[in-house]
Amino acid sequence: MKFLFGFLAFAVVAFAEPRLLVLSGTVINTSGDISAPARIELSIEGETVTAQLVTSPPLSGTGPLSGRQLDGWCELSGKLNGFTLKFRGVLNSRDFRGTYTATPEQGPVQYGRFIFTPGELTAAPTPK
Amino acid sequence: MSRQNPAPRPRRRWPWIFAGGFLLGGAVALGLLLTPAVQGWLLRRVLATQAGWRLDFERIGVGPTGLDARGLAFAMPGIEASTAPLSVRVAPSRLFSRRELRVEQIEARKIRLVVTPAQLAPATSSPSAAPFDGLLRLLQAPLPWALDTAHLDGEIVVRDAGQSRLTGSFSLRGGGISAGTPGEFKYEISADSLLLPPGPDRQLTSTGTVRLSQDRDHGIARLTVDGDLHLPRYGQFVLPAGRLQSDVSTTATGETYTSRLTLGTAATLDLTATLDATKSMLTGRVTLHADQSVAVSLLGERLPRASADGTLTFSLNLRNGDLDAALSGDFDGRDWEKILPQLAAVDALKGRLTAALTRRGDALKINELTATLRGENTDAIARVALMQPIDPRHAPTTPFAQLTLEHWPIEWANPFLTDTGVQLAPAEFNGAWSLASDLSASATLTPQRPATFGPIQLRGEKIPALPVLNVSFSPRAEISATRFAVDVPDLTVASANGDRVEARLAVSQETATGALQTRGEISGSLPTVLNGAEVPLPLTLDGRWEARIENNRLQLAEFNFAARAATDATPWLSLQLERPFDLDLATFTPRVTLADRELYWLRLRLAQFPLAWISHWLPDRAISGTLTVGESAIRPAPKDGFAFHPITPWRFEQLSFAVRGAAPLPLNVQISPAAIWQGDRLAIAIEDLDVLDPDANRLTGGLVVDTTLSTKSGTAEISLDGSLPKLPHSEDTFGALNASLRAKFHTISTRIVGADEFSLRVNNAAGPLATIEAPEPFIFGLSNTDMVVFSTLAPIQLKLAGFPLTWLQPWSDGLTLSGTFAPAELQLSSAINRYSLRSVTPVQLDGISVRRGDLQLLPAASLRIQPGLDLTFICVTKPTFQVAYMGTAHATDVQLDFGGRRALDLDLALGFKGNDQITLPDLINLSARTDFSIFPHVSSLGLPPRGTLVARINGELLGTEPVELWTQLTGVPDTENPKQNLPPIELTLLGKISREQVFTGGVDLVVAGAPQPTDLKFDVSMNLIEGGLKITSGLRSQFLDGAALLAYARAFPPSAPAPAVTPATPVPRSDSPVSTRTRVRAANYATLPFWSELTGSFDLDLRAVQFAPYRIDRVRGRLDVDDTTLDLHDLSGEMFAGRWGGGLKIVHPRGNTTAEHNLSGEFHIEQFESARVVQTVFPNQLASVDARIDVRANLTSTGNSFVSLIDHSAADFSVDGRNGLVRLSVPKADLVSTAAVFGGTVLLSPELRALGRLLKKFAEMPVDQIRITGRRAATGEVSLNEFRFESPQARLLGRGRIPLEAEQPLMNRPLELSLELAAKDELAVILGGMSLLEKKPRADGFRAMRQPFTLGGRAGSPDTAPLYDLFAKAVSGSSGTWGFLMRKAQTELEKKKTAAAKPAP
Repeated sequence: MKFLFGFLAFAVVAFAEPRLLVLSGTVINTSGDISAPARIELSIEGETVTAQLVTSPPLSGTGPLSGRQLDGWCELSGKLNGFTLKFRGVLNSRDFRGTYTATPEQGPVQYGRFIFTPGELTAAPTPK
Repeated sequence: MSRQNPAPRPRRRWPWIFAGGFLLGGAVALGLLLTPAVQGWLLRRVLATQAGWRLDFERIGVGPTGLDARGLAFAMPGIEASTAPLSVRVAPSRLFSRRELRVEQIEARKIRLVVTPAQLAPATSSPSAAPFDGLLRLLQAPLPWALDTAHLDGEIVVRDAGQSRLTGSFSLRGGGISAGTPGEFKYEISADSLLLPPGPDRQLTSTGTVRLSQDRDHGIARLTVDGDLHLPRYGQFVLPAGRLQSDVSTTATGETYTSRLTLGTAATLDLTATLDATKSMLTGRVTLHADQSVAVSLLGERLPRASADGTLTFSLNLRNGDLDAALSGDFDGRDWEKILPQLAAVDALKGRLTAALTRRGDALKINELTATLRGENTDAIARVALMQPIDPRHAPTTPFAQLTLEHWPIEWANPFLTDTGVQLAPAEFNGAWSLASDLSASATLTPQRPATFGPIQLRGEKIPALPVLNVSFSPRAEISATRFAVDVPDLTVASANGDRVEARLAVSQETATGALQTRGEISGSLPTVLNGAEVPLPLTLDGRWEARIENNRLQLAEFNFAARAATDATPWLSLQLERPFDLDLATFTPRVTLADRELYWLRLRLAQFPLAWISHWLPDRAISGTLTVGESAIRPAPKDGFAFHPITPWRFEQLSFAVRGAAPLPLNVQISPAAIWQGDRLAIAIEDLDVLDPDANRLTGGLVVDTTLSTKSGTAEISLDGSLPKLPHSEDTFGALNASLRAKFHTISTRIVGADEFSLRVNNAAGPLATIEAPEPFIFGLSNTDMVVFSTLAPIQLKLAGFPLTWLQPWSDGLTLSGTFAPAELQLSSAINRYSLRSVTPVQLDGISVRRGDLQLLPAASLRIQPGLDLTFICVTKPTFQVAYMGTAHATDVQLDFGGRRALDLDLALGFKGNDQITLPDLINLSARTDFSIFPHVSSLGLPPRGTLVARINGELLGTEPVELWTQLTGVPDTENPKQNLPPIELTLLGKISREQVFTGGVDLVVAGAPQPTDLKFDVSMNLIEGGLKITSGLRSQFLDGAALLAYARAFPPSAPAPAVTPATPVPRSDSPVSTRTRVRAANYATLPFWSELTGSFDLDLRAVQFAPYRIDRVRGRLDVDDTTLDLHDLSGEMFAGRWGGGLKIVHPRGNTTAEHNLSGEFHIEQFESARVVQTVFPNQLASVDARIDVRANLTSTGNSFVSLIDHSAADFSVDGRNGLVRLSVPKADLVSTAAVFGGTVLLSPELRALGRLLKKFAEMPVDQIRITGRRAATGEVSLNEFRFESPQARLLGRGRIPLEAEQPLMNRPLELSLELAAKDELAVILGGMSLLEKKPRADGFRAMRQPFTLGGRAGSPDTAPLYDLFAKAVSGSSGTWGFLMRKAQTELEKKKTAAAKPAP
């Protein structure tokens, strides 16, 4: 009986459909005081998260990211466009919001913040 | 007219001959008269009869219709006139027909009129002089006259002493004057005063109208002038355009004169005078009024309010020139701050001038002259007064005037001292001088008594108390055309504490050469100046000097100065001129021979100079030590200029400097200051720097700055080395340290400096500890907008070696630290004013352990941070120094691990901005996840043993974007069932922060409980500076599960210790002036109520509050919270169809040094349905009591938390009901026998039938009154002190208790109720028949039951078996129970059924 329950539990986890979230919003490079619209697709499977980030000009940064989410804490990273991008923030039912770093192969780290919400891509607000 | 008879013929020739001769003679005479030469001869002859008159001409011709002249020149005393053509046309017919001289036209061009006023005046002193009848009297004519047109132009010259003082031109056009008809002439005058500087602006011009009217005697009766007037400017001084109106009229005895000159609104000058020709007396008055606008052109609009009024009255005897004149004037000036803001303190000044002047013959005397200036609100007076009458033309040989200055407040100077931070106490200046002068070339001011300043006391926050000084001196001043000199022979500065300095000094300047010469000497003692009066420091001064400055050449012939403890002691400081000093001030080059270049000019010696007195002058700072020796000299530099040359290094022993009571560090310091000033070059060097502390830490090196003054360029080089064997706090950690600083700078422009080399290295024996190094040059300086700029070509490297955290122990505020700081490398780069600091690798701290005493706060933690900083730093030096900055501090990838397990993930970006006064947080973006279970000793932090908190804070703390806090807590164990987790709780806080740093927003709390989530919404405001959470809003909820919230409250263990062991902590008085935040910090948390700094009020609006199994609907009420009381009052709601209400107050008095709170409360439910209470626990059971009941309960409790108060609460309660039902349910009701008995079947015995009737009575017994009183103890046990049911036939009275049974609602707890029953009427008959009652009724008519009984069961479902067992005994007479009785009844029933089934015998 125990084996049966264990098998069922494993089956539920193993064959559960990953949760897919499509969010859009703004990324703001605070080091350069530049903002841009962006969009991110999150595929959440247990603690594992894979993401596809699309950033519009004037900022760059489009490509896949991966990481984990735990109790709403979500961290993603990936190498794209010659720099390493690292997003860390809180993902809840309303938004995915936090800060990021972009570390180029040469030069100092650039800092930024982001906010993604379910919905259409919006124009970038004036940076503050 | 008569007709004559004709004469005889011969006789008739004579008349003809005579007539002919006469005519011929007349014709000849006429012909001769018409001859210009004859006319000229005749004219000269006529004019020659007037003394001093003279006429010359080239040609003159007088004809019947007029006069023509050319080259006419006329002279009379004081007047010389000449003209080019002069033409006069008259109408002779009018002369003969009307005896009127009618001049049709006068035309004279290029008239030159030279007036010498000095010669013009009549010899009034001469008694023989003709009396002056008036100006208009001069213009009398012997016959009627008229002038049709006149056109005159020319120039006028006014001369004095043989020189032209004024030249000008004039033009006069007009006419139309005749007897009875006034004439009008337009005039233009332009005068050029040679007294003014050359230029177009020195002209006086006037244009206007002259009107003349005749009197009956063919003279001029009235002359008026009305015209504008433009006065010349003198430098910047321009008077407003003026208007001149004058009137000269004849009177019966002479003439009157009035004249008014107005200069806009700035000034008015009025003249009124009367000439009494009969007495030859001219009397009059001149008045003047002017205000400050007269001087607007000179001083601008920033003028004080000022006005001047003056009156001159005079009386002039025109016969002998005797004159009496009196002058009086007043002046009023105020608002001096308009000139200079610092003059605001100067009083309004009022001036008064009076003077009297007489002239008798040649004797002219000023008999009186007094000018006084007084303060309006002060006693300040300045007065100049004549001491004797004087003739301004002949100065007396003795002093004739006195100048007095009395009570002039010195504190008027305070506004000028504001920036220095010192102010003068009230004091005044007094002095008096006599004035002697020859009135032309020299004047001497001689003191009549010593002038005094005093008492002078300087006060200021930044300076110590200084002695009160009084100054007296007798300055004598001589002013002459060649020299100005001031001699002060007796300057004395003294205090009451023995300070006294005397000096003699003299300053003079020669007018011709400008040479300034000064000499003097000073000596005295100032024991209380340096170190104050309490601990005097003897200080004796003496010095002499003699210097001359002429043609940019300074010649210092003598100079020496010494300061020492006593007159015969070695000077602490001395300056000695060793040879005459000759300096070209223009080039700042000494005039010296080559041989003199190696000789010292001025020698400075320092010896045993104590320095502790400096502390007396620096608040919060303490300096001590002695400048033991030092000698330097000024001498010519090798080529030119000067050198400040070190002879003996300056040595300071035990030199220490401490700020605000910090422990001073005595140092032995040696420096050799040197400087060279060579024309355009100034080089300053600190050589041989050697600083040694008591621990043998030593700093050596030097500094050289070499500048070119004209280009403001230069270089600087710093080289410092430190040998630091025992640096505080590092000796045991790093051991001996060596440090070196190397830097080279050069100017790129006058404002930008380039750093060619910069490195700071700190090493210990193991290698580098900290390094700051610029791999490439960087620049810094001021931009053209005076902003500080800093730019790097490559980032400046900051490298830190790893070090143990124990090194931070001295700064850890009592915490015990251990662990290591891993090596780190940071980079600082900048572009103009944007700075960025980045860590090359994460900052890592391993094995962190933090303890406070025995309490382990952080054991064996590992912390990793990626720090960063973006900063825009704006520092502007002009026009005022200002600093502003904004930036963002980053802490990313923050990871806190315990034992390799992640306890905290955090990312923080904190924006900030500020200036030199304040720094304010701006933007915040924080995301964090915390796992409580990883934290060791988590309960000591007041946290549950496990749980995950995910939170983020985003928003602008100063701007418009709201701040949002979202947090979710999951996985918190239920304290009642630790294996089970409480539902997740989610809190959202959204609001804004005002400029006053008050956060105002809404809170949304959701506890995801089942079957319905708990929700709470309310608004809060929090003062982020003072602290404290303020609530003033509604508290709204659709559903509030009190049990869930209580479970969460229980999940967080109280951080306060138990009240009994709470240490007593002094509490600041509530009325003390410290802020709430300060009080909070100062007091132990136990002194605060458990709601801490929460204050305000909630208006409750709760749809449903459930505390399973109980529920209150539509709860209203108000919660007021202050720093001592939490007051929940005016509660209302619906519970069990009754009206629920009450209030609760928790008090934590001020001064309570324990964590104890006192709770008192009152709750009531009115007219609730008791049956529903039972049914909440026993839904399928009829309630034992069914009535509308009022319940009142008074609660009290003591505890250190809300949960504790609830758990320890005690309540006195009362239950009152009327007209209900009591159901004493029948045990074994499911038995047929019970039903049979209950049904009163006739088959049963009479006893059972009686019992049946009794059961019916008890099954639903109407109750008139129900009353239960009791107490719920703090332990939870309920005691029933009075249990009274009163019905028409039965009365139940009892006592009992409901013991505590954990986790069970009251209705389901065990009941122990001992009851006494009394009955009457039918029930008494039944029970009496069962022998259960006393025979005698009580006073109330009821008969008491002989034996009490005790009910058990549950409070909501009492077990009535003991009562029925009693009945059973009464019925059966045995000791059996109700069950036994019913089985007997059953048996009896069976028997009766069996008997009925058998056929009758």
